[in-house]
Amino acid sequence: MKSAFSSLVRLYLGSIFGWKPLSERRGAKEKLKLAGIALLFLLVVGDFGVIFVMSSLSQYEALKPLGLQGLLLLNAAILSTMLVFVFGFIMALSTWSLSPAERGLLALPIDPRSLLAAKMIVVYLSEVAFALFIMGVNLVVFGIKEGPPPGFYIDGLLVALVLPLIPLALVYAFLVPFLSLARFMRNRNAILLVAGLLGIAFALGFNVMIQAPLSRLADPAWVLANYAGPGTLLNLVGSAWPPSWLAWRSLASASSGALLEPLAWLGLLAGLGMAVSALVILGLGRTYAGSLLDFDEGRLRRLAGGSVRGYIAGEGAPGRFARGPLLLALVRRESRLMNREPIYFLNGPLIVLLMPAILALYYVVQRDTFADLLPLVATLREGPRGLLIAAAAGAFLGSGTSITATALSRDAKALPWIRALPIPTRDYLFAKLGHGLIWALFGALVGAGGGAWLIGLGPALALAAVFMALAFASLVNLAGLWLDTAMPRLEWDNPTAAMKQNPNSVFAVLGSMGLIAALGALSLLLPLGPAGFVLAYGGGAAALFALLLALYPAWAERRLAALEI
Amino acid sequence: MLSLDNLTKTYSRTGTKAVDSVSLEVRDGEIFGFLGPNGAGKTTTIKMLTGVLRPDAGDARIEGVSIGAQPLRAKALFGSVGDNPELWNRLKAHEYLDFIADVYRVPTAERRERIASLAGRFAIADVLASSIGSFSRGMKQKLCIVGSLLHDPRNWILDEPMVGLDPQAAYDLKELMRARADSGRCVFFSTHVLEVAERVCDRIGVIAKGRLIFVGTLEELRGRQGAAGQAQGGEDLESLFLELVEDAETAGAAR
Repeated sequence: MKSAFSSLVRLYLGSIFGWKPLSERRGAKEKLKLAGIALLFLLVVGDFGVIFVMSSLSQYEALKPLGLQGLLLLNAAILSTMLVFVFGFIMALSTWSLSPAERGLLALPIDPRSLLAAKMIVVYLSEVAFALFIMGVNLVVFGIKEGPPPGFYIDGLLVALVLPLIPLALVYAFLVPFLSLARFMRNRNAILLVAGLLGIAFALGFNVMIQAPLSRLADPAWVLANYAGPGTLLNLVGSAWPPSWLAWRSLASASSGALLEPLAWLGLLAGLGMAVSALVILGLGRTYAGSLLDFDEGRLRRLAGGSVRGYIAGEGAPGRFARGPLLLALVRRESRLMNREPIYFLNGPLIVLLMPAILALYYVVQRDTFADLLPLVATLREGPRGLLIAAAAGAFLGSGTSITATALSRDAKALPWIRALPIPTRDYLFAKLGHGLIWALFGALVGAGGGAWLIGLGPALALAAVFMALAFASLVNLAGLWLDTAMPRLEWDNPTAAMKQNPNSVFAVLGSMGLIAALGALSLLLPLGPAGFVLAYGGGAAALFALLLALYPAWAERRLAALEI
Repeated sequence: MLSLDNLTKTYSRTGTKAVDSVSLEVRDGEIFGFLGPNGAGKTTTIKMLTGVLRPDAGDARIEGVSIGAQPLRAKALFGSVGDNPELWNRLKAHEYLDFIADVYRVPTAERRERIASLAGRFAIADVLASSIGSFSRGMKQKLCIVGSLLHDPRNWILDEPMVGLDPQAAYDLKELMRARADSGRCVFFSTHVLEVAERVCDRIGVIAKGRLIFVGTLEELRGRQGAAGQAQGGEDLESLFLELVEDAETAGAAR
């Protein structure tokens, strides 16, 4: 018999990450899914790994001539704990109350401290992965360059495992009292909005943090002033922020071959982390459970007695309760349901708005580097390269929203209702496609139009780039819808599972990125001019889109009719 | 008028035969109660009747129109209330009703008139501007009921419609069902609340383990059980129902 606490942790793991034990993953489909997730995980880790390895190597190369390479470890410890703090904050906030079903736990004889401890463990498990990743990259770079004894790596692994304890305890020490006092935050909308905005702000800040020093590391005076001085941010944070300072002391002594000293610092870090975590759990468990009691409590907006008749008659909004075309009603429904569910909006349409903002930030931060590139950009105006780059930017943006690739999954709970209504399947699905295409058009205009403007292409080529981007994005959106019609995720208790954890979304986004990369590579081999590429890529994608569009409705109708819901 | 002809469904994922050759007819002007214990096949039958689920065999007809062959025409002929009102919490109540009315192509004047009348009757007119997510389960159920009648259908199909309703709303719903039946329309609803069936229904059908084991009036059920030597005179529906289901389960086990 499992303890209530371990069952609680498993329940949270299943609900938040869709995790289930290997013993329950039977059948070829489950194994294939697991392999796909593992591959995706490797891809993501590899992708970010390159960024961190390059950053770490650049820092090492800059610090080594000054004899300050040991600071790489302090920097890694600070970065790890800071990232864990920020991501932990967002994660703790967005997993505060998972669903109405979770509130049912409050009626069970479970100690409120167990509820908090179980939630903290699940958040810890996600954050320890960050710590292991960042520490791992820096330890390997430092290790290859400096050749420390094997104990250094064991110490590094243990440091990474205990490093998240203090930041996470502090996150909960702040959030538990805050959420119990701030009633407006005990609401999934408010939490997802705040967490989303924090995530965006962090993504932008992180880009600045990674990008800004890269161009300055070649200047030893700058390195000395920003890494070694007593008043530098690195030193200030390093000495004032105990987790990173203790971690650094442990790693630094392990790198010099000491045996007991690293263990002493590590023990202090672990002991402090566990003590602070225990204090938070023991002291704030009840307050945490109290904050779940009235979570997501709805507030009705009642119309004044005399205004009801006028409201129904459409006063002030003639379109209210006025007959309109079915397709428009369906598209409007898609749009409202997506844009009002923060997890859908943040992972869907917002991408089209966020990516240009990140690129604009790159431009601001790396302005000097971009200035050096201007002559190169000028050469792109000749031949098809500028057209292809602008089209690729638009294609990427227009096909990155996952709107259609999760369209049916998001509707899972409403499907029985929809199917009992006299809605032609074709209209229902075309509304989903139409919704995706609206954002695809927007993405194509911003990406390809913006790209063409930056490169300085003329109106004809800019228009051609938008056409190519739109044709490609339309094709990807239709393929995404096809995929989600074939394999919709219909069983979920948390909208995150329908969108963010939906493999169809991952396949569509990664598939479109892969396809763009492949077409880019193919372009190097094809001896075509701009018109040729417009015809081959834009025309080809448009033709394929038209063909799939002609085949899709009949197939989808059969598929939907066969779904057992 | 609704007719179910030999409806059969086995769920492919579990291999469970949920509904086995169910045939019955629900006439115009009557309230038909579809009774059965949990997992008996009531919801599966209603899903096939409303076109949500495709039967393995058999067909359902609404006013003689096959739901399998002409689903859109057939669906336009009924209004339905599903067993789960947890739908579209992100929409506002007026947006939901507008959507349903657009689907059934209800003209502006009629939809406003019906919304005013029905939303007033079920006491949700003053919350039409609110998000459905802020509604209680009962209010959501009322909204579904209002939505199902916006096109004034001749046939009304409801799956466990009393769940979550307060006594006043439950009373109003029963009155509305009676009024619609009295005006020559057809009402078909499932329930496991036997008192409701006893008070409201003109005829009942009892389903157990996917098989329809009785169709008729309450008096016919009493007569049948009495003839079988099981029922005492004047027994209530609960006792009759339990006996009937027990008989069916015993017979099923013997098979």
